[in-house]
Order: sequence, then C-alpha cells, then structure tokens
Amino acid sequence: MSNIRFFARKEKKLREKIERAPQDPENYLRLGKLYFLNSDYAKAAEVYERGLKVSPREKSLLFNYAVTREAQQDLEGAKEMFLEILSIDPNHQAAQEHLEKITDF
Amino acid sequence: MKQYLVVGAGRFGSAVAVTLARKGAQVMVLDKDEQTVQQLSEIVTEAIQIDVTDPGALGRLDLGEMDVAVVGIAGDLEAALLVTLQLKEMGVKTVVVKAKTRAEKKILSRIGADRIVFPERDMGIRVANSLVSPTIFDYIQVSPGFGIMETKVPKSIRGQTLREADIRARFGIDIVAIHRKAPQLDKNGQSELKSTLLIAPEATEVLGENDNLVIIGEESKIEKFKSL
Repeated sequence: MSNIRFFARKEKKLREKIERAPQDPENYLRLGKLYFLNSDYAKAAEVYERGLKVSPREKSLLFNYAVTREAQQDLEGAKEMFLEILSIDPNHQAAQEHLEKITDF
Repeated sequence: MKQYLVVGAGRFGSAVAVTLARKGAQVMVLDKDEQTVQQLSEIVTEAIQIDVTDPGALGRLDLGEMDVAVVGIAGDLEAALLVTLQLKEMGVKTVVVKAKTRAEKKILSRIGADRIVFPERDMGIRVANSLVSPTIFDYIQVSPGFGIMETKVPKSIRGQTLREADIRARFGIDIVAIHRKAPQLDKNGQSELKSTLLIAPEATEVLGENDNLVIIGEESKIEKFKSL
C-alpha cells in the first residue's frame, strides 16, 4: 500500500515539474524511468515521446526510450532508435551493445 | 504465408532453404550451379539457375513480393552488395546477408541490409554459451521431431499463472523455465533489462509480457503453441 502511495506521490511531483518546466528533458527522463521501473512501458514510452518533442537529440531520452521499446518487444523500433543514437554519438557503447544484441542471431 | 528467397545455395544457403521448406514455408532458391539447383528443386517451392552477378538477371525476376531474402554469397563481397542493393530496390521487406568480417558487416549495413549474420561465429558463440550457461536457447533438438525452444509468452496467456494457463493439458508441451527480463537502472542510472532464469517455475508464477518460456515438446506442438 505504502509503495503505491509513494509511486503516486512521485508521479504527481514529476508531472507537476514537467508542467512547470516543459522544456527540461530531465523531468521527462525521470518520469519515464519511474514508469519503466514499474513495468508500465506504455506510459514510459508516452513520456519519452513527449520529451523527445522538446529535445529530439537528447541521447538519454533516446536511449531510455529505446530500452523501453525493447522491453515492449518492439525490436525494430528499438533498433531504429539505437541507430539514431549512434548517428549522434558513434561511440555510444551501450547503444552499440544493445544494437548488436537485438540484430545478431 | 511468408515467402522466402535464398540467393546462393552453398552450405549456409542450402541449410536455410531446406530448413524453411521443411517447416512448410514457400522458398525460392537462386544459384548458378545447375546440379545444386536440380537437387534443391526437389525440396523447395522453386529453384532457378541464374548468375546473380549479372546485373540484369535479378531484375528479370519478380522478387518484390518476397518477405525475406537471405543472401548467402559471402566470399564475393561485390556480388553480395549488388544483390542486396537490388533486392532492397525491388522492395523486399527484410534482407538478411551472410558476412565474414566486421568490415563487411559495416558496408552491408550502410547499403540497407536489415540483418547481417556470421554463421560460423554465431554457431561458435551459441555452442560456447550452451556449454557455460544454460540460459540462452534458440532451439535444441533432443531427438528427431522433439526439442527444447525459447519463445515469447503468447498474448492469449499473458497475465495468467502457469496453473491457469494449463499449458501441458492444453498444448501437450512442458515449461522447463521462464526467462524473465526485469526492468532496472544500471550503474549509470540508465534503463536496463536484467535477465533471470526461473528453472522449474511454480504453478503460481504469473506470465508477463517480458517473459520468454523455455518449452520442451514435439516440434509440431511447439509450433502450434508459438502461433497462438
């Protein structure tokens, strides 16, 4: 019960922060991670998408969104996003590792 | 039903073509060797003798409807590149290409290959994994027509417990383990999916969308279960 309350409090707080500072990608990232950790991948994806409208080339948003899509078994979508991260930062090791994992047999 | 094209019927291409055909898929094979084509024509839907390095040859075939093309002509990079380019231009949805080196992989990726495989390397990795850790499965044949496979939890039983899903009674297969991916953050605070293997899971275990099931049973029953 207390966990649910804690989640709801945190969710509310982060949503308010986003409303107050909609241009700050950090709050989208934190809220997305909160949903991800609670296995609510659809909501996490929704938040990351909103964040990416504000900061389309933000690597952390792209990476966490890509892992969320991987969790949703949307491997093609995840692959596209990892490729996008690598087009921004060719040395992004985590994106490289994930990409290899999902594209190799 | 998906339609597959296999270009180049060496050891790799032939194995792909024959396996797909035996699984009931529609398979077209292109190879320049007359004898190979003749042999495969007995097994696959269609086998055509053709020199794929001739730029006009592929163009004369209607290949745009193919769902997946497997290009198995590693060793002749120029030919593999040419064929991959042509197939993508024709509209083949997924082109899988065999490569030998990382450099080849890079080039093939750049020109639009959807998936690049290193059969020898991949087989080596798979064997090594199965030796050191039984957590990675694709398919292990236990005896002819009977095997172990890892597959996603079918949508129709997601959210159910193993007891509710009643897989053994309904599908005639057994669950050996659940391969579960749990969300967490890594040491850098980034999202990560941690894999754990629950061997001989309890009947009360709930099947989630991120779970894979390691199942054992007859191939035909496994296929039926996968297609749910």
